[in-house]
Amino acid sequence: MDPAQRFKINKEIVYREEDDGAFLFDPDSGNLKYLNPTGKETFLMLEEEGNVGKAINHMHREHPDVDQVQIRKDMEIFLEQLKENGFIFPEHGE
Amino acid sequence: MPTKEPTFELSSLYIYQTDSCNLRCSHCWISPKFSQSKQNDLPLDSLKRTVTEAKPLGLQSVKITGGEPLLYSELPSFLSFLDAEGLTVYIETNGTLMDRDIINHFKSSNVKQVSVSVDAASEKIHDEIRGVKGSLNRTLEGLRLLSKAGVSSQIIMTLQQKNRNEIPGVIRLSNELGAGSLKINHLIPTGRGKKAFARGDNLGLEELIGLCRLVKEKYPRRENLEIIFDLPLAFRSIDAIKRGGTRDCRILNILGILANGDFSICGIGQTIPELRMGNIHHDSVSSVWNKHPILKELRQSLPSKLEGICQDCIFKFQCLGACRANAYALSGGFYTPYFLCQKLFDAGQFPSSRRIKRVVEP
Repeated sequence: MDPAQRFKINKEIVYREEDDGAFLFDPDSGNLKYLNPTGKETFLMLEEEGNVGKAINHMHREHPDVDQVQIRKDMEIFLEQLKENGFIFPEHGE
Repeated sequence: MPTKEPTFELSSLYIYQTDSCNLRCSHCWISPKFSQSKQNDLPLDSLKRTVTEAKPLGLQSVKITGGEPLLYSELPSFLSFLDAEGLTVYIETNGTLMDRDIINHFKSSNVKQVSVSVDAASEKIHDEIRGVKGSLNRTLEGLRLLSKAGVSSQIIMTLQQKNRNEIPGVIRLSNELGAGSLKINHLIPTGRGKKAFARGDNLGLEELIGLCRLVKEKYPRRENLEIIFDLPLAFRSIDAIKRGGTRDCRILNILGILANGDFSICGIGQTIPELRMGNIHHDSVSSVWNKHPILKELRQSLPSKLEGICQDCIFKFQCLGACRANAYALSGGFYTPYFLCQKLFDAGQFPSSRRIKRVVEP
């Protein structure tokens, strides 16, 4: 995973926050994804920074007790799921 | 990228093998005729042929329901056949006719789950709702035998005014009887349920939501008993959605077969004849599944034509408007919003986090 990779959030999607997580919903495809509190935090960070590396650094700072390699792996899986659902797009293609 | 044509597998058949029942439940949405004698409404050969024809359409499971399915005299043979076909079988019964013989058939035929109705731990209340004295004791006896045989069971309770205080008792019974889950349903205003609503037997929206919260708080998830409060997705907590998923009625992937052989979208054809779509005695299941205008319309129009709050709900692609049979029974159309969700919206309580339109909170 390239930490410099930037992502755009699909502008058509609906993001709805709840106390214990959030939902992402695409009104066109009907795709729906529940984000747990960590996923919610990551998504918001990605939306703000648009950059994978910055989002990973943020997670490192916020969760110093979690293994860094694990954070990277989890981030990779998470981003893949968001891409598959059409919630985010890589800015310069792949 | 080319758009993939959506396909609709017939993943499950709901078979209403008899239109008779040995109980007279005040809330039944099917309204079967009362009978205590064994029935043979659906010829076994026709049923077997239909199941065999349905397999290439994607058939994976069969739900055997009713009427009371244990009144169907060919049930043991049919179960053996379904097992040999490798299909997953679910049974819904009032449990009063379960004896060692039939339970042995359940076990030897690898029935996945037997769902049994228990509306109260109080004999008086259960029997009053079920319309036949002694029914609770017979049901509990059947459940004990089921548990002893190691067959997986689910208890189903339909909430109404009469049994609104019975949830703790039914949870206790479910635990004692080793049930894997307890499903708490709300009353549906179709069949006899229509009269039950007219009598005011149903619980109000506030009360349903309150009981749902109470159950969640008082009975946190235990390893051995899953409690499923069966309300539309919009009502459910994130935790309940995570555990139970986001799909309930799979209206686009099921087909009902009524006791006279008629196909329908589910059991609703029993009370609404216009929702019948051919008959197993003279129509092939594939022609009905692939060509019937009702099914084609539903596939093209759900969820896009849903109305009211259902159109604005983020769960609409999964929920598909909860029970469309109920919507049809109430309005004569498939697309009116689910009555409970619309009530919730009209009362200003539909969660803004579950609406597509952004709502600015005051």
